[in-house]
Amino acid sequence: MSLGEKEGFVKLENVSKVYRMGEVEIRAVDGIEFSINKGEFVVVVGPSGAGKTTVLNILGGMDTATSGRVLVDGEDIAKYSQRKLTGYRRNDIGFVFQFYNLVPNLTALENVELALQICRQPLKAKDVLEDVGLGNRLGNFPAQLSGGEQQRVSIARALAKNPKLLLCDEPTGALDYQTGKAILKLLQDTCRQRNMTVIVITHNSALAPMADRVIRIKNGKVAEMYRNENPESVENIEW
Amino acid sequence: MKKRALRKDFFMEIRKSFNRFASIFFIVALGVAFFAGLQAAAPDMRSSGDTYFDTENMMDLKVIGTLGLTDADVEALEALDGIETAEGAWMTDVLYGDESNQKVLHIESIAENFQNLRLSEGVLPEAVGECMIDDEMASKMGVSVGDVLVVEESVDDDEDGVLATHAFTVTGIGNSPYYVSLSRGNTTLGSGEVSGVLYVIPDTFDMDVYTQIWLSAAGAEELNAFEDAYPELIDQVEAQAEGIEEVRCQARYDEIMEEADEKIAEGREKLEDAKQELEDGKQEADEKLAEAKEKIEDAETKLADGKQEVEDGKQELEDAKMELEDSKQEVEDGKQEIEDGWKELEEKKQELEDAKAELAEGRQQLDAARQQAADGRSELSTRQAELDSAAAQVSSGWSQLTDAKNTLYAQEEAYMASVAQLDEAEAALDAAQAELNQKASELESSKLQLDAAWAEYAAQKAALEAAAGTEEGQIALQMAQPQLEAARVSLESSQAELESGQAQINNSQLSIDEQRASVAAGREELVSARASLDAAWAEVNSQESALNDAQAQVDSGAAQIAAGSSELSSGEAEIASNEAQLASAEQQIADAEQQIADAEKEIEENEEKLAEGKQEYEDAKAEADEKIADGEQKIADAEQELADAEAELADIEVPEWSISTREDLTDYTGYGDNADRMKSIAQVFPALFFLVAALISLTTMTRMVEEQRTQIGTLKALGYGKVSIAMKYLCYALLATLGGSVLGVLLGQKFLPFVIITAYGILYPHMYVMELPYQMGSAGLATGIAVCCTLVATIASCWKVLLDTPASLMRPPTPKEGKRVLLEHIGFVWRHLSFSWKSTIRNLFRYKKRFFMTIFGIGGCMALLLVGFGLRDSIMDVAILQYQEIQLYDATIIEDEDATAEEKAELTKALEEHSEVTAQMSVFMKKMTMKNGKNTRDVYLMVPETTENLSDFVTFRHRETKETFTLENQGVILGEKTAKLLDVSVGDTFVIMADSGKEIMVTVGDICENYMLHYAYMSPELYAEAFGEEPEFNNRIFCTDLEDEAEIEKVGTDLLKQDAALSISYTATVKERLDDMLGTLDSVIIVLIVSAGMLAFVVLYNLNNININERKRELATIKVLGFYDGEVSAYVYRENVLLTFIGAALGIFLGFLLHRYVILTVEVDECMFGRNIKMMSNVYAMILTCGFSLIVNFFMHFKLKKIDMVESLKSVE
Repeated sequence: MSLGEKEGFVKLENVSKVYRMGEVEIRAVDGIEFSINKGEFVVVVGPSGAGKTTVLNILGGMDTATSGRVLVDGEDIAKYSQRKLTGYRRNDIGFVFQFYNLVPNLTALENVELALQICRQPLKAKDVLEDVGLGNRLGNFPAQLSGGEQQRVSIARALAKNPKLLLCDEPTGALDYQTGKAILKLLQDTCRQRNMTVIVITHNSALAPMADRVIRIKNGKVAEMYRNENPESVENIEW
Repeated sequence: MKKRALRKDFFMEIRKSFNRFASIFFIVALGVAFFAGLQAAAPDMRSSGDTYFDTENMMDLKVIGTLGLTDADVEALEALDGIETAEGAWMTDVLYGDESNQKVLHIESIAENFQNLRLSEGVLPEAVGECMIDDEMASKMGVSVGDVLVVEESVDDDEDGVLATHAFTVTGIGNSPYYVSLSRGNTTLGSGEVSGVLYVIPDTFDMDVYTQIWLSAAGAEELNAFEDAYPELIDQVEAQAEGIEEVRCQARYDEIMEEADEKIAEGREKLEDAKQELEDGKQEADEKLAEAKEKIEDAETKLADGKQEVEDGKQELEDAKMELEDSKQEVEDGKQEIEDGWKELEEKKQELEDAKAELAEGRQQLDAARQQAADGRSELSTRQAELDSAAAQVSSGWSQLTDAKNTLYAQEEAYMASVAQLDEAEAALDAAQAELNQKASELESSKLQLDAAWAEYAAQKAALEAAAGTEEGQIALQMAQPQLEAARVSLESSQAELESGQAQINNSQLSIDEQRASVAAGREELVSARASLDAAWAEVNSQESALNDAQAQVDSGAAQIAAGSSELSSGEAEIASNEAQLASAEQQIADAEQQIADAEKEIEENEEKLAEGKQEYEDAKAEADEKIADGEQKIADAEQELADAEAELADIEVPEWSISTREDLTDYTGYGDNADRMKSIAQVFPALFFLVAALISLTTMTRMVEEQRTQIGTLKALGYGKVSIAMKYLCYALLATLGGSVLGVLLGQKFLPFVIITAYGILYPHMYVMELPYQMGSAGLATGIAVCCTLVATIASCWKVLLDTPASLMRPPTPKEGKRVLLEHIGFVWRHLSFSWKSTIRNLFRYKKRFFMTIFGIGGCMALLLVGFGLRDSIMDVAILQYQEIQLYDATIIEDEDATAEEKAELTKALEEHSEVTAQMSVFMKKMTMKNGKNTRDVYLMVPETTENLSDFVTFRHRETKETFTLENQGVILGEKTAKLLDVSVGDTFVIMADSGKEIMVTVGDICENYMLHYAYMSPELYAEAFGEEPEFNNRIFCTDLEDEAEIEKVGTDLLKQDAALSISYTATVKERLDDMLGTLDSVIIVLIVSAGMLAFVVLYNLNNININERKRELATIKVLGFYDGEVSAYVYRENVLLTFIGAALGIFLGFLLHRYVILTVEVDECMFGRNIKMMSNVYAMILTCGFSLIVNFFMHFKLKKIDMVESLKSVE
């Protein structure tokens, strides 16, 4: 356990999510349990439809669990009201989307600032953008940026909020290999440098070695969870 | 079917995207409803109106003849081809009400075939003296069925009225199609305005000829009276009627001339008669004159007599007067006397009063006296008693005294007896003495006798012896010898006796002497008795006197008592007598007055007599004069009559017909005009809706095509042709459009005309017919336009996509680039904007279609509201501006042309003296035709008496700048609209057509703000110069400081009493009309507000829908970023708010234009509506627009809430 890590910073206890489609009951998540320490770089892997996105949604406060406890920094967000959840998203969560989800009408800087203006302890947008290597593209519109650059803006937007938890949904899904690597590097570096808890959801098992902790999900259940005592650097991973 | 799957997809699509379908459906429905509805309104109004007028047998034409119309005229008119029915009728105007509130009523006979009367209450009149009145009059004047109206005909004294009765019992209240609105026409009577109409049976009119003939044109009923064919037909019929006018008028003229000729013949005859009469008259007159002379002479004689009589009378009068004078004097005296009398009386009265007082006092005294008397009486009684006792004492005294007296008397008697004895004795003595003496004297005488006898004897013896010588003496001696012997014997005896007697006497003398001595002793004794007796008597007497005193005292006491009561009685008597005296004095005065009155009467009578005398004389003279004058008068009369007849003959002109049509009824044409205006409005309003509908279709379809890009690509990849693919969207749009159109037509063509006709119903309360047929023409047109709009929009939106390759279609579209907007270059502003605002602003410019759709929608909404409020402002402006700021006078009095200068001066005086009138001025006002090239207008030319204080009455100013100016001598000031219609501006010249037919060129000096009617103002100097004559001031304008119309009308009625005032027109009347228009506007405004609201809803709803759908991902993302619901809504609303404001700003501009257009369309030639929309109206419109926007946004909020954040994780489609 590296310095500054904290046991059970994020903890899911017997979390299940059941969708009712008329007569049919779909158990997207079925009794998931895992625990993440503070400052860990976590990779959640699993095939499509395994329930990883649902887990992410629940963790990100975008959806509520049907049952079970979701403890984030000691708070059970499963019991949160919609409003409290919004506040949780607002202050504690940074979200990186597969398709970046930047506001097309705002420049890179403005997109970051959009998130900052509602946040309690934001970082400086410009600094963050410089950190993610976009110091020279501040005034560009998303449409004028490459996918990688857009994802960097997205990451910057998430980081600038100074969240407790950085949730990334297939951050490289829409990116080419090199760019994807660069983005993952950025995320890993962020985790290391800022002691940020980063959870990356991906279907790409090849990414598992770079994580401190790997959680493998299958059919809505945790199939496997282990810690990499010596995570690989992104550069050394091939897929 | 080949493409069943596609078809299924189509229907599924509709079901899935029902919102989208509905938005097209509704905006099309709205647009079509508006267009078709407004388009239908005008024809509906016309056909409703036409049906109403046809149903109610409204006349097509009306003929009025200056000399009345006859049955022959009716027949002649009916015989015309173009005329179906003709019917003669009567009408007249009468006055009603008292002086202070006089109204003019129009009385019309009920026609059999024309103008059906619709009763709202009661029954139609059936007898003379019954009437039906119109609804407005009933409600305005508060007349109800059963009331009796007493009217007054306004005719000259020498004319007969035309009515058989002047009292009408109201049997019914209703209306006639002839008066569809509030106006009842004008009149020359009273206030100049007809206040109500009475319908009566024809017999009510006591006239030989009709005053008017109603006509219906053949074939007119089939035509719509408000369409062109009808006036054309009516023109033809009018021409036909005019064709026979001359003949008929000539006939009527001939008839009258015949009558006149007859009259003249009659007149001639009369003249002849008169001349004959004159001759006769002269003859007669001569005779009569002679007679008269005779009579005059007689009269003169009589007169002389009369005069004499008069003289006499006068004399008499003089006398009478004298007498009167005298009597007057007398009367005066009498009066004086009476005065004195009165005075005296007064005095007496005073005295009487005094006396009365005294009397009262006396009475009191009397009472006191009575008391006293009573006291006195009692005293008296005591005194009486005392007296009685005293009397008793006295009487006992008396009896004592009597006893004493009796004793005394006895003593006296005894004394007397003694005295008598003595006296007897003395008497005896005396007698004895006397006897003695007698005997002695007897003795002596016997001695003498004896001696004489001896002497005689001796004489006789000697005589006998002497005589014895004679025979006789011998005889007588022989005879006397014995005797002588006897006588010598007797003488010797007597001698003896004498000797004895002498002795005896001596003896007796001795006894007597003796006795005398004893008597003397007795006497002495008696004297002493006497003395004692006397003393007794003295005592008795003293006692007696004492008694007498007592008696006297008693008597005086009684007397005193008697006197006391008599005094009392006499006091009362005196009072009575005083009263009697007073009464008699009054009587005397009354008598005296009566006497005076009598005297005056007498004088009057005398004067009367005198007057009578004079009168008699005058009469006599007058009679004589009259008889002479009579003769002359008769001649003059006859001549006058002849002259009159001739003059009358000369006066008669060929009569004229005045043929009027429905066009001459202002309310009727007003209705047509209103329909036309509706039509003009219908052409512009719906355009806005269609524009918005097209934009909505375009954006909606574009969005739909964009959404289904992949599907299109797939279909293309599957090998479907462009048309097949496009057909889905075209059909989608077509179905929505057609559906919307049908709904729009169905609702719009029923609802909008209904609202509009109902709104006009305020102006035309009796036009109960409402025909709202579907009008396929406008329905088709509206649908066509709608279909075109949406189809073109749909084609435009799928065109580009269809051209693309399937491959690129399957890929997500390259996202639209964010663009910098102009504002960003203004760093100062941009930097201060938040990202939301930045995003918002960039968004606005990014989606241009949406932008335009929204601002047109919102702008349209705003514009509609502005038009609604602005119309109100404009029309209110007219009243306020025209009559409170421009024409400041309250009324115009039209002067009687025939009025004399004095009457006019009197009017001036009346105006000046009237307490309510603040200013007045004479003006020349006349409607004249003014011409500039082809443009002609009838304009009121107004020339004030002086330009000096003209600003009290009229304000000249420019509308835009509000800069005022004055009337100068250089040019004419024209009203703005007049100038516009004449197409002249300042400095231009135009022509005024003078009555003389001269064309007078004048220059436009200035153009002033003016809203109602056409006015041109000219200074009197300019008029004189231009027309070559001084203006004849024929009108008076005056101002009051009253606000209330009724009070101003009262002033007017006061002033109309002046002979010089012919009629009066009030500016307030026009104001009322405008108010009525405002009434109809309220419902129009509501329609506009509702449509504006609907427009705003549809547009904003659409916008938001699209916006939200398009930006679901973005919105989901910001939700994930932790935006609260409110913040998310705000993020979207910002755009709406901004768009609303931009739209509203555009709306102000659009509204301004639209308002201007509507105003120009709505306004009639006679007036100019205000051009301005008030600030407040802008504010209201803005508030309403924002309100609509808010409501839509409120609903959108829920939609936003429903957005699932999971959307953000989805890939771009």
